[in-house]
Order: sequence, then C-alpha cells, then structure tokens
Amino acid sequence: MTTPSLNVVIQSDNEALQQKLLRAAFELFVRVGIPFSLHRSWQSVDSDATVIYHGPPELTRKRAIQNRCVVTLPVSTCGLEDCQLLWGADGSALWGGGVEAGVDLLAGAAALLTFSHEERVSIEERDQLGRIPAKSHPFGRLEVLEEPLLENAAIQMRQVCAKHGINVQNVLKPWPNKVPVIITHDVDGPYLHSFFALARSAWYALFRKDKKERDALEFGLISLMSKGDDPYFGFSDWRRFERQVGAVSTFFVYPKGAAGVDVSPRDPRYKITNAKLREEFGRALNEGWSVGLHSGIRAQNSQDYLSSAQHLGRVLGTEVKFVREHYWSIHWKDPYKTWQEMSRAGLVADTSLNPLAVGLRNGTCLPITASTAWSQFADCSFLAIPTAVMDQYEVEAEPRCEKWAISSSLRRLLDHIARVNGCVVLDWHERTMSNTGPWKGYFSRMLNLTRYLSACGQYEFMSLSEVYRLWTSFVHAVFLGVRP
Amino acid sequence: MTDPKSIAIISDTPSLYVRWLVEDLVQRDSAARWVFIGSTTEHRLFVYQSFLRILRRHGWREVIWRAMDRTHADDSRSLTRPQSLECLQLRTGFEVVRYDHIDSGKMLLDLMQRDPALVLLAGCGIVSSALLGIASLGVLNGHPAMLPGVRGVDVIDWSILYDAPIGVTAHFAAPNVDAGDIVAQRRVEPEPGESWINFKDRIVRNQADCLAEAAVQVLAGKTRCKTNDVSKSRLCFATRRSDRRMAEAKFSQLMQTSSREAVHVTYPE
Repeated sequence: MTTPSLNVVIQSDNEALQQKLLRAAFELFVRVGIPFSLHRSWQSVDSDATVIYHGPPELTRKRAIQNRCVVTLPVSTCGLEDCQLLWGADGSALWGGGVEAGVDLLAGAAALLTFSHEERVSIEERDQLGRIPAKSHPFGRLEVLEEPLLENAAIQMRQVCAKHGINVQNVLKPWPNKVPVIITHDVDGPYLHSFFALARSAWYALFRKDKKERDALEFGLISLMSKGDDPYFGFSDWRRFERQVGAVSTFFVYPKGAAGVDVSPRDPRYKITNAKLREEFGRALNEGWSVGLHSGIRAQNSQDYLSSAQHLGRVLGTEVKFVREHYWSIHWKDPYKTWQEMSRAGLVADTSLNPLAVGLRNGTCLPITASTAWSQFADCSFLAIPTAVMDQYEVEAEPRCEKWAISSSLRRLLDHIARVNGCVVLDWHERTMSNTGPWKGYFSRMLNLTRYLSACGQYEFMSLSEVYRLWTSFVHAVFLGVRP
Repeated sequence: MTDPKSIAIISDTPSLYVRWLVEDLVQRDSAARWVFIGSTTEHRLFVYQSFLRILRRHGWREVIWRAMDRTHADDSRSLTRPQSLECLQLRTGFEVVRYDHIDSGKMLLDLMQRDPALVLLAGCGIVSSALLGIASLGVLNGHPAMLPGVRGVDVIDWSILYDAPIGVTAHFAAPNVDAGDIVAQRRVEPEPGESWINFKDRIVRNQADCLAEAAVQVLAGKTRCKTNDVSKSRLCFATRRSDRRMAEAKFSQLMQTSSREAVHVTYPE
C-alpha cells in the first residue's frame, strides 16, 4: 500500500482566520510527514483525491460522495485565544478547541503558531522588554512548558488518518536516524580581564554581597596579576570539548560598531575587531565551526540586521546566516514581525524562541517555517528554530543535581522530544567554560547533559546549518503547494 | 578507551607529598601517567582563599602567626627528600599538565581528554562533583588522620589535641569533605626522640605511601572498602596558634612518657 498525498482543504468565512488555519495546517501536516497540498476550497481538489477537511460541515456531505476518502476534522466555534489544554486518549497533552466530536487540533495549532495563548498575559505580568517570565506564561502555569504540543497534535492527526484507512506506515522524516542536538554559544562577555567585567564583578561583590561574583573578581584579579589565561576566554576549549563529543557548534557574536544600529546599555561590550578574538574566530571558522549574529537589543528592523550581519561578516570573513537576539528580544507579541525583518536582511534562521525557562515557548520543538506567513507559502526558506535549553535556566531549575544528573524538567523535555522525533537546541554561553564564579557548575552541567544524551543513545549532535538543510529539504519533499 | 591502569595525580603545588606519591607509585610498578599541577594563578588563589578562611575564622593575628610558622617549618627535617618533579618526570616520563583552577571547565576537559582510570588527589582543596565522576575507577584522596575520626584541615594537630589515634587514611573522594569509603589506613606512632616537625613529615610520608598502596589495590580490583561513618567523625577547621602550640606540647609530653595513655592534657570541646 503506497502512501497517498493528502489534500488539506481549509474553508472559513473569515479570510484572516482561514489564513491562520492554512499556516497551522502547513506546520501540522509537515510534522505528520505525509506529502500534502493545501486548498482554500474544494474546487481545486480532484474527485478521487484523499481529503482532510476543516470547515463548515454542510460542504463536506456533498463532496464526500464524490471523493474516495474524506476525513472531516472537528471544528470548534471558539476563538483561537480560547483554545485550552486538553488530553488525548493516549494521555498526551494537546492544545485545541474542545468540541463534541473531539479536539479541534487545527485551531490549537493556529493558536500556538500565532502566539494567541500568550494574549491573556497582561502588561503587568511582562517584563520591560515585553517578555513573559516562565511563572506567568500560560504553559508555565499549566506545567506543560516541556510538552511539544504541536508535535503531539501531529501524532494525533496521524492516528486520525490511520483510522480512515490512510497509510501512515511510510511517513517521511526530517532526520532518519536520531534526534539532532544542536550546540550554540552566545558570546556575551569573553573577557574577565577587562575593566568593565572586573568592575561589574566588584560592584556585585561589594554592594550586593554576591559571593559568586566575588569569586570571579578574585580569580580575575589573581590570574591577571599572575599573567595567567583569561578565565572567560574559552573558545578553543569549547571546540576541544565538542570535537570530543562529535559536535560542531555555532557561536552567536555581538557585532559592536555596526553602522546605524542603536546600542543598549545591556548590549555586550567587547569588540569583534579585537585581534585576539578575530584570530580565535578565524581558527574556529577554518575548523568548520560557524558564527551567527547575536544582534543588539535595539536592532529591530531589516536595516539594523543587515548592517549588523554585514559588519560581522566583513570583520570575520564569513557569511552570516543565523541569528539569535540578545535577551531573546524579538517582538514578543508578534515574533513574525521580527522574523520578516530578519528575512529581509538575508538571514535564514532565528533561534530566539524560548520561554525564559527550560521548555518550549509555543509548544513546538521543531523549526517553524516562518516565511510562509508573509509569503503566502511561496517562500519556505526562513526558519524559526526554538531554543529549548539555556544554561542558566537548566542550572536554576535544579541548582544541586546528583552526580551526572540533569534537572527533571530537562529530562522530561528530552524524553518528549525523542518521542516526537524533534530537535533540541542548547544555548551554553561561551564564558560558562570557566565553570567558576557566577558560572560555577554551568560547564559541569553540560558534561552531565552530554553524558545523559550519549547514555540514551537516541540523540546525535548536528550543526545548525545541517539541521537547517535537512529541515528545508524535508519541507520541500512534504509540501506540494497551495491551491486556490 | 580508558587504559585500566592509568593514574592521574592532582596537586596544587609540586610539594613533598606529591613527589613522594610519584615515587611510591613507581616502586609499586604503577607509575602515574599524568601529574596535574596548579599554575601560579591556582597556587596564589589557593593561598589567598586559605588566608581568607583563617581571617574570617580567627582574625588578623592568626593569619600573621600562621605565615610566620610556615616560614620556620622547613627547618630541621630529617627524612630523605625525593627528587624534584622535573627529575622525576625525566625518570618516569609522566606528563605534567598545568591548571588555573581546580573546578574550571578547562581542567575538567584536560582530565576527560586523558581519560584516566583513577585520579589521586594530593593536596588540591575541595573538588567539584563533576571532577569526582570523571575517572572510571573513581577518585582517591589521602588524609593525614584516621577516619572515621578527624576530618577537615590541620588534622594532625587536632588528632593529638583530641587524643584520637594518629595515622593516615586513603579513601574515595565523595561530595562531602573526607567522607568517602576507606580503602586503606595505617597507624603512625611517634618514634623515640623524634621531633614534632619530623613526626609530621613522617605522617605525610606515610600518607603518600598509603595512598599509593590504595591506588594499586583499586587498579587491581582488590579493594575491600570500609564504610566511613561520618557521624563518628569531627569536622575540624584551621587551628589557632595556641592550638598548634598545645599540640606540640602534648606531643613532647607524649615523647617523654612514651605512652599516649599517660598523657592527661585535656582539650576543651
């Protein structure tokens, strides 16, 4: 029995809603892995085609007679912002509209992809940058930050297809063998031997009585007086470590001095024009590591991104394709605005999607093909790749872990991601290699994590560009186009 | 692949203790392959942190006394000194690796890359649990007192002051200070006419030998560990000068009476 291609028909009286549902259907059926085309109406569907239908029920009956197979999906009448946490028959967490016939998974997917679930969070609950702290995030409150809700919905959808006799045995997969794990490093402050870093540590140590910063200050001063290495400058050690575990990472670098880009006091202070840094990045790039843009907090339009990426590329002599915002400072209410600007600047993937905790901000661990939102599905080249784990969140989740252990939330997250064949992006700041002062225990947690991953046997390290290449090829193989 | 017989030693400085340990391992046909020695940064950091600990606990006067006592500690030693670390390295061919901070990622990486079967701690302060898990056979520590009994620092003085049995212990390192299972231990009794400083040296000499013996046992898989019941131990901190003087006086009395049971200097709890 061959796997047919699916014709997903999305009908709605509301054009804006239809567009959102089409985007949701796109992401959902890409995750299902059966080749599919999207249809705005029945007119473009062949009479013998296999149809998945989401829309007013009266339209189904007429066409069900003609078509060999029509799967009618439940349609909820509530708005996307009213979608809620529901539980599937197999116990998996789902986000959708509850109706008598089941769960409106498409509405749930649309809500997740448009961040409607975050609309209930008030301004008071957000921070200065408009971000939502994990404890105020709807998924944080529901304790489902680690749940890949969108991928769970895809599994449910596959089950619905199977129930209607559609062969789901040979679905396509983005990565055939193991779950990819991508290591990335934000480069926020690669020097402790700098006036700013030492003064900062001194400030925290003296006025806020921060013991860890005091340790950093002591280590910094003593190593400086002893003419020792800078404790925070760990690029070559990261590469050494990654070579050992079979990984190639991406360093996200702040391009200080990019023309026309406003600087925030919270932006990093180092200059990439520094000879030592340039030499280090030159070596990393030669050895196959890559460099991405860690754009400033105030870089918000395509011109800023373009200028930043060009400056970085010019200084380091490489093409800059990937980006992560410092402080995750994408447009929090509508990340697509930021992604569109990034795409206009020639960048191809952003990794700034994170709920300020270990977990998934909008219930997906797989890349979102964000460019379909503004290109009417003509462009599938810009991806938003969620970063599920950042060092600080992992250490804060359980500061004291048993030997070789990781936090229970990370374990849950990894188990879920392995179950749905997702991917994991790790963000370990470059300076955490020092594993001392404020970064005490950070690198050792990375060791714990790599041990855990290799013991599980179902993960493999991949570079960001490899995952980008595999995912875009997979989308092109699965998505057959959109019809009127 | 881990070489099942490979040993790494970690020490803050190329002290007598670590050099004795290297020699003792060579004599037992289990030469260390790597010796990790703290850099100038690590050594200064170690000294600075010890200084801070004493300052917080006992004040400035004690810091000065300790520094002065240390200056005079090298006088009148009778034990045969081992060769310098450089000579030992030429003789036995181990690799010397310098580190800036015992807990740094670079240090952990250096250890991981070499993949030793067994790590021996020979005076490097408290290590993180990440380091404790790196060697396949574990991490052994030498302790200059009997365990369970006296844990912590300045334990030779405290053993005398508390009338505890004097000796040395080699034990697996655990997240708590001197709390891991005991692999080997031996009593060390004062010899007639022995000076306090020479007795202390001899304890350290035995500490190295005991640790080497324990390492060989662990490598051979012939370890019979004894549980280290920390509830039966006292955790001791840095001594004051008066404590050290009292310990020395008590030791002199001990030498005169040649029986420890006859000594009746009581020390306040």
